[in-house]
Amino acid sequence: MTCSEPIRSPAVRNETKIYYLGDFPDENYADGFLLCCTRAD
Amino acid sequence: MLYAPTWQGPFADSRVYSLPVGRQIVEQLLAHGARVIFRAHPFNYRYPDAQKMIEDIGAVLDADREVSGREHLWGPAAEQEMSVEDCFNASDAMVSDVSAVVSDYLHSGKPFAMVSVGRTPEQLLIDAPAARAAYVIAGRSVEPGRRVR
Repeated sequence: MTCSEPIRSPAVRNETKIYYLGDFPDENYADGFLLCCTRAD
Repeated sequence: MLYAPTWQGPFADSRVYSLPVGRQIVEQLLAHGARVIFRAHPFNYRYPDAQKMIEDIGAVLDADREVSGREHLWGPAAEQEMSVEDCFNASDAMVSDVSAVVSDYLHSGKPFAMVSVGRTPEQLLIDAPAARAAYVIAGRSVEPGRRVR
């Protein structure tokens, strides 16, 4: 098993999350995501 | 532990689903004392071979429940009575493969593993960048007769 140690690499985890899901606050994540989508070309 | 493999896909040469080694994955999870939520991708029910694999894994879970008393979930309990988000919230960690559930699971902050099917773990990191945040399991390492560590 290859292990990138995500638990010990919170920065990698966070970068990957932002890459896939955007960077919006947890409190209003859905609103942030949808607003961003409406502004996308 | 949530085990949520993707579906087999329409082409034999582009399959990324771990279901063919799903039984070995689940058996190892059970051997480590896990309670398992097995959520199969609904498209797998289109294929008799995949459906048989699902039923085999379910039978393993049912048999273990009888012995251990652990309340494993699969079939309608995990796929209809629970949403995918319910499964996320009920889990402490997930095993999957190249599936959309992986990117969604990133939001949970919980650890997850991805099985590299048809490619090396190194190639998986290139083909599916979400693997950078995952524990990557070489698909060959969970083929029958091999033990997952």
